[in-house]
Amino acid sequence: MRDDPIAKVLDDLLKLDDIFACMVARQNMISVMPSDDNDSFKPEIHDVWDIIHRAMDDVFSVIREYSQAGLTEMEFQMQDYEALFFVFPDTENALVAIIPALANKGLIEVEMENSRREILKIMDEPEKEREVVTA
Amino acid sequence: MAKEKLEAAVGMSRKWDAREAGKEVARSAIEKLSSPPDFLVLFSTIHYKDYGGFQELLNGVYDVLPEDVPLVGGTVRGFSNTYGCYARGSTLLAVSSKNMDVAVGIGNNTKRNPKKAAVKCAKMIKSGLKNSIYESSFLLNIISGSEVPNMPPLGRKKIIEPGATPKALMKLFSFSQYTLQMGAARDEEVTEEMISQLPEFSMLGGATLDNGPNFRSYQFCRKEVLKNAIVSLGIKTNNNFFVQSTHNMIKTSITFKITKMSKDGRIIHEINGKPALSELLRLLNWPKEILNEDTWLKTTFYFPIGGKYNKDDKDDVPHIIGIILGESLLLTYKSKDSNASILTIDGKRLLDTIDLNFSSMKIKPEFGLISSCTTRLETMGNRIYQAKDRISKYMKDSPFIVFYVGGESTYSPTDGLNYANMSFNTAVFGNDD
Repeated sequence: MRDDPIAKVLDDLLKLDDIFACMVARQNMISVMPSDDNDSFKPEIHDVWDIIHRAMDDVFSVIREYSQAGLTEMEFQMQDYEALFFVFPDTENALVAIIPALANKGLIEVEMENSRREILKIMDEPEKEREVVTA
Repeated sequence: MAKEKLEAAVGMSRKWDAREAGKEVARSAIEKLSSPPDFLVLFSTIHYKDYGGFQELLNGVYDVLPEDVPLVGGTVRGFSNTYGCYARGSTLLAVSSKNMDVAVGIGNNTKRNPKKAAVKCAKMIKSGLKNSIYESSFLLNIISGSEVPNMPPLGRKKIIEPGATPKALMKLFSFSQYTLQMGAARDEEVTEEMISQLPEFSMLGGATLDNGPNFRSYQFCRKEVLKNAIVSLGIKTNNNFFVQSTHNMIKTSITFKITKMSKDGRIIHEINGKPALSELLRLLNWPKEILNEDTWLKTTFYFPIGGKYNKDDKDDVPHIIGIILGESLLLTYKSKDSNASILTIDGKRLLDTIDLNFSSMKIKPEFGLISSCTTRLETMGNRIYQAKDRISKYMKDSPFIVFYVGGESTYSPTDGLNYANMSFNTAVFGNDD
């Protein structure tokens, strides 16, 4: 996990002040978390994580249904937070980030897009090349 | 090896450590050049402040490059280049040419005395280029951007509620502007004086920013990190170039008269004979609660006040409200026109302004610098990649940097000054064919 290049992409994203949590996920499963595993989410969302996580799983039902039809992004706002979903094309997986509801979303979206592109590049690399890739 | 006529390259770094980023951004640019660069233009986001600082960023650049290579630049909200679009990192344009003379200039204390800053900067440019034999003249102006005023005991806020008398608020604001140099950028005043000093130069300008709070931004000149400064790169050349400004905003049906204004044209006190803020909210049909520190980004930016920069101008240009002082509205730059309107734009027009801009370009591009309002980046979010793709279509394989700033302008001796918020401004260089 610690050498996972996708985790390193998430580490970079999590360094941004307004990203409280980020992960690669699908319904009922978080596939990749930032390198520090369970300690990697910022304390701001610890109290609301459970309810947000449940809502995320419901959103993934929609992603699973419509990803092949070209669904690329979803989002929802709950209490003082927003969850952004950047879908990996034609898959049931998405890059997910939790941010403050009134964050400067435009700038965050730019970096989410960059992370999505980086992760897609990593996913497209053949298995044995991926082992030696470092961020 | 004989120097190529003109070579240009863009470098990039996404490293967090400032020193390492400086080395990488420089290396990744110059490895594409066959000769040492004649000048560098460096933009970075504000993040390096917490990862070593901007002095280390410049030190890293000059670890790789000789210290006599002139450099100008500053902090920006984000940038696009031939690699992609970014809200974090640094990017560098390096240019090498047989047919250019280059000089850099600095002027200090732009918020306190913009004229004096411009005069000093222009003097350095004139001195640096006085022996040049080339005919065409271009100036890149990077100026310290607006910062939220610090008005003790009220602190640093975008919205100062009515409470203190207008006179007291203006006094506090003046203290912040002139003593602390935290307030309006006054970059249009700097630009006007640069034009007055160097009228034969075409120009591209932009005001530096941080990543949102508007508390502090920085300018770079050679190895110096500056605040409240103008840094300029002057070029004399035989190369063709093209400068153009577009914004593509349209007027809504909401028009009004500015009936009381500060002497410097920057603060609107009354609209239609009534207190400005209340009357503006009434015209927009907005409840008072819609405007607060948290909703700022989603409200004021998208309903800029339109007015003519010069009375003889054909079109209204957008003026963003910088801060609210009680019932008064501080604009990011002065308005010279009492007839005003509310402007608006949609996503399609934001993108189409790129085509509008480049459609009048008649040269084959070798490199480009584009100053674009940060609102375009923040509005489009990840769709900024669509903007970048459109630009790439016109620039073909030539290197370019779009730097996202607050307060942008172009000037040419034939077309005059175009200064606006929410605009898209290009300076594209061709070869000397």
